[in-house]
Amino acid sequence: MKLINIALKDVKIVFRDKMALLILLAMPFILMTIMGMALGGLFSKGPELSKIDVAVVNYDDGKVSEDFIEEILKGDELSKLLNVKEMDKKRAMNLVRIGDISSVIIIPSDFTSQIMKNKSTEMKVYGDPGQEIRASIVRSITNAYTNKVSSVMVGVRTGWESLTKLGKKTNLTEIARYIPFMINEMIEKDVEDLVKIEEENTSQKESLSSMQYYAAGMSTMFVLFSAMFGADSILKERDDKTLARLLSSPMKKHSVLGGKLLGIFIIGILQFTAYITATKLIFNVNWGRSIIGLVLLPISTVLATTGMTIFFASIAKTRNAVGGISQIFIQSMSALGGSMFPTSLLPPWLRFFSNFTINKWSMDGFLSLMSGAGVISISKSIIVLLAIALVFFILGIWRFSYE
Amino acid sequence: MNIVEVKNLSKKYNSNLAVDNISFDVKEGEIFGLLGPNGAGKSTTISMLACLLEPTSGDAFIDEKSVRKDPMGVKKVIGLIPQDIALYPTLSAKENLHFWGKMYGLSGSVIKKRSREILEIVGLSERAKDRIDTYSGGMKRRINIAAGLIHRPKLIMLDEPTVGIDPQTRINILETVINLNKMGMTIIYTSHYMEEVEMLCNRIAIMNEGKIIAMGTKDELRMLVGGKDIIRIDATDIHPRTSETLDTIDDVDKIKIIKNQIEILSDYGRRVLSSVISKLNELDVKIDSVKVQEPDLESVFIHLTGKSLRE
Ligand SMILES: Nc1ncnc2c1ncn2[C@@H]1O[C@H](COP(=O)(O)OP(=O)(O)OP(=O)(O)O)[C@@H](O)[C@H]1O
Ligand SMILES: [Mg+2]
Repeated sequence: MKLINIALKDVKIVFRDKMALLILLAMPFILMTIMGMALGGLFSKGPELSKIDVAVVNYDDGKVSEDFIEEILKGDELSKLLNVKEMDKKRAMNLVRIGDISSVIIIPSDFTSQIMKNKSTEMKVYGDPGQEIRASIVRSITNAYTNKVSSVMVGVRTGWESLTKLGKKTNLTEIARYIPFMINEMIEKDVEDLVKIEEENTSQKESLSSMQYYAAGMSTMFVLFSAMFGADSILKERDDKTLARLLSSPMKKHSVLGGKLLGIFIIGILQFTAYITATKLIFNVNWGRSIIGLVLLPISTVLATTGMTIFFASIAKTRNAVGGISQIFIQSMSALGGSMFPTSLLPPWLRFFSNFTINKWSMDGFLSLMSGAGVISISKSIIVLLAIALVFFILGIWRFSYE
Repeated sequence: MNIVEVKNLSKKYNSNLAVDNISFDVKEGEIFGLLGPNGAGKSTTISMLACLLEPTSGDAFIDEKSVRKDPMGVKKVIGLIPQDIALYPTLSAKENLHFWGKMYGLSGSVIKKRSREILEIVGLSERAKDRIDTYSGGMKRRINIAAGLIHRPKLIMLDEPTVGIDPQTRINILETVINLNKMGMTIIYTSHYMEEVEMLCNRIAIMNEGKIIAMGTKDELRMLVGGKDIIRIDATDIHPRTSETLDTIDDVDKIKIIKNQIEILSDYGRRVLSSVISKLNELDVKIDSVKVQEPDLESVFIHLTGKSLRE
């Protein structure tokens, strides 16, 4: 494939460019080391609590399990603590095995009928051994519900029977409709306690070191620099007439551009791989447990920087301009997006602009992963990064000129 | 057989007609020259033939394929050699050739074999593994040509390959072009140096302001000037009224002054020479050398346009 040949050629050229290697590989390590060590205690408080990812496998089609999922797990109170996804058992067990979700709740098919008959039943909870605290929180929620729902049912049934004896005709299902609300009231206190325990645990065990913070911050910032080199390389092909030569070979215009962008993409991925591996080996930086998250987040970040490459190449008329424009973009994105210092230090009106940076979303994702979250918790980051990529691609391709 | 047929080709940049309705043919196996001053439209013409620019009107056929309708087909049979060193400076000659071979869809083993042959032709076998940013100017030019040969094009187009290089390298390049032609490749060569075109080309089209103003073999073109001679005088302190004064001499046909050179076109070169020199003496022009020559392409150009090629 010609496209791949163009990309590999570009990767080779970057590896022979001492300046590029210095900026893309050496600089971030130097800065991570300096800032990570110099600012030691600054980040010990950690980011806000990340949610617990839970999968639900529901074999029961009755009312009680439906209430449990819709009104309790996804209800106002618990939705602050949990990310709930319904899925089939195979997928759920896979995700919990690789540590991407903390636990799986399995609801047996006779759950509703057993509860209605006041017989004992239980939901099974499988937890990721690596996320024991989170799994145990989920377990206590299911236990609390099963216990409360049984006792409430007993109460309701007794009440209904006495009402019937007194000659009042009341429909049992009519009353049952209020059960979830009653239970919600009852377990609200429990949930508050659970959240407290989780918060304490997070800040103890999974607080972020400044080394982690700057590993994420500098990685993101210096991957942005690949866009500067990429845009420069596109304009260089145009200036050196290698672009004309490429276009005079039997190839479509867009494959040439595609090849260049693929090259930038590969370089960005290599950067993240190098940063993550090296910080892990040298500084023992903990990047979290979610392998999928640690694959998808760099990919979406690099897609955004690849989009930014074509955007830079399209707005800069000359190679000198690329340098200027990219510096401005990269530095301000990095400052606003939290690569250099936490965005909480920014005045609120500036913090609003963080939302338009690649750094913010990428770092949100990395910091969540580092504090133990799974891929579902960082899906917002991934989606926003992909949206940023899309906007850059559209603007860039629209404005790019081959001449 | 014609390998190139250009039919009423035009290119307009905004309101500027850079190429104005030109037509010409190139026969298989010949070296065809496009001669013209800066801005004549040579590069624009080459770019349209190489399918880099869409013609505004007209069409060109290369190996019977239309540049408009079958650009991919055209691109497979042509080798465009840009004026600049259009290569990757930090890659070696071999790596560059490999890359360009891949761009033409060649397999690794074919590329290897051809690279060896091509590097032999351009005399760079010994330096094959060195990065080309370590090459001398002349070597860079040669590897630049080599990269256009990897896919064995039937037609090679060179756009002013000798601009701004030393005489030694220039001779080297001209020799390479002749060798390639001997190997069976058809060549389109553009230049504003009439000596090069005279030396290399079987047939020549002279371009000016987007138009082909004359076309034919060297001898056919010279015939256009009739039996005229060209007097070339190198001089200093050329008086502003020199041109006017010389024009008063009978039998002086056209006068052109560029920097330190005076060129006079005349039916009777030797006869008017003494009057020319005495007029120049009257104006205190210091004469360094005087030559009376048979007409060349320069005189053809002056005859046709009243301008010099080197302007
Ligand atoms: N991209 C462009 N946009 C607008 N005008 C152009 C463009 N390229 C060339 N021209 C104009 O078209 C005319 C022909 O230019 P062209 O480059 O084809 O001449 P040339 O014969 O190759 O000259 P040179 O010897 O300087 O290379 C000139 O007037 C030039 O200014
Ligand atoms: Mg030109």
